[in-house]
Amino acid sequence: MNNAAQIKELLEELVRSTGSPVYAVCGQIVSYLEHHPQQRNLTIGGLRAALNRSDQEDNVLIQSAFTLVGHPFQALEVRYKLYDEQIEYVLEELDHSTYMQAISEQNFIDDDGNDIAIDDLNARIFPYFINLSRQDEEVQVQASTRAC
Amino acid sequence: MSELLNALIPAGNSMKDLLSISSELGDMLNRRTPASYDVFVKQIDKDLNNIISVTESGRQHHLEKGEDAITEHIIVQLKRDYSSVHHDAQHGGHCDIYIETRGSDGSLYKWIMEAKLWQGFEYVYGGLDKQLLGSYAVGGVNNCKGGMIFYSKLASGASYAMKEWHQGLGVKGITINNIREDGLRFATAHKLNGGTGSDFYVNHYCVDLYHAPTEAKIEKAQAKADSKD
Repeated sequence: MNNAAQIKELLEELVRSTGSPVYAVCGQIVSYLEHHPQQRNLTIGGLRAALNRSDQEDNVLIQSAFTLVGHPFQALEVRYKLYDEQIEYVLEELDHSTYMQAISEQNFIDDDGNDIAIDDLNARIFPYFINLSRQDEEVQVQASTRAC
Repeated sequence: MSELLNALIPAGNSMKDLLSISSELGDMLNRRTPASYDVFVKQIDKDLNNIISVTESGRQHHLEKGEDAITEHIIVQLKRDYSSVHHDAQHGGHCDIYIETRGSDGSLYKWIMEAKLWQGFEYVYGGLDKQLLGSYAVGGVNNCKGGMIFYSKLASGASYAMKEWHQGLGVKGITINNIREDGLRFATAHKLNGGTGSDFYVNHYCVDLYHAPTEAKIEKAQAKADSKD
C-alpha cells in the first residue's frame, strides 16, 4: 500500500475502531509526507519538529514512525547508520532486515568482521526514515519523462 | 568547541535511546516487521495471552455477549498492535481471526484462529476439525500456524472446559504438547488433508467469562420479565 489516500483511509478506520494515538500520529506523518514530497530523509527529531510535537510525546512518535515502516503501510523505509565507538564516523549502513536479524540472533558482525554485542550495536546505530511516497513519485516522473 | 561537538554528534537518536524512550518498541518491531515467522507467532501468543488476561478481568461486561461479539472485542484489542487483523476474513472460507504481516525481509506471514463459545467438546471440535483444519489452514513455512480459542461461561470454570477439551482431543488421537503448568494452554500438531497433507500447528487458548454476580443479575432480570408475561 503506497498510495497516501489509501493509507490515510486505513489509518482513519484504525483510529475509529481502536482509539490508538499511534495510528492518529501515523496519519499526521502521512499527511506531512504528502505535503512535503521534497522531504526525503527524516529522523525522529526531524519528525518531531515537522509535526511541532513535544519530546515528552516521543514514545508515540517513535512507535508511529516504525508502524509506517511495516505492513500494510510501507510509507517509510528505515535504515541505520552504524558509527564507530566514539560516535564520530559512519562505518556502514544497515537495512532494517539486517538489523532485525541481528536482534533476533543477538549477534552482529560488521563489514570488517568485528563481532558487536547487541547493546553496543544499539548504542552505535542511528535510524533514519526514508519517505517512500517521494520515491514512487520519482519513478512516475522518470517513466513519464522517458515516455515523452 | 561546542560547535565542533555538535558537528560530531550524529543527527537523531540511537536505537538505544529510542528503546529506552519507548519500552514497547522491541515488541512492536516483532509485530510489524518480524525477523522470522516464529518471531511473529511468538509475539501473537504473548499479545493474545495479555488480551485474554484483560478480557477476563472485565468478564462482567462479556457474560451476556455471543460468540461473534466476544471475538470482535478481542479483534479490537489485536488491532491496536496488528494493523492487518480481520474478522471473518476470506481465507479458504470465513475464518474468525486472520492476521498477516510482512517480515523484515518482505516475506508474507499469515496466522489464523477459530473462535468458539464453549458448548461442549463436539461443538468446539467442529471448529477445529472442520473449520480451522478442514477449510482455512494451509501449509507452508510462513502459513503453518494458528490458534483455537474458546470462551467459557461455565460456573465450573474454564479449567473444567479446558480439561474436557484436552481429554477429548486425546480420545481423538491428537497428541497434546507444551501444556502450561495450569493446564489452560497447550499446543497440537496436525497433518492437513485428512492426515496426508502439510503440517499445521495450533496453540489452544480459553477465556474464562463466568462472573457469578452478573449471572445472578441476568437471572433476576429474566425472572422479572417472565413474571410479567
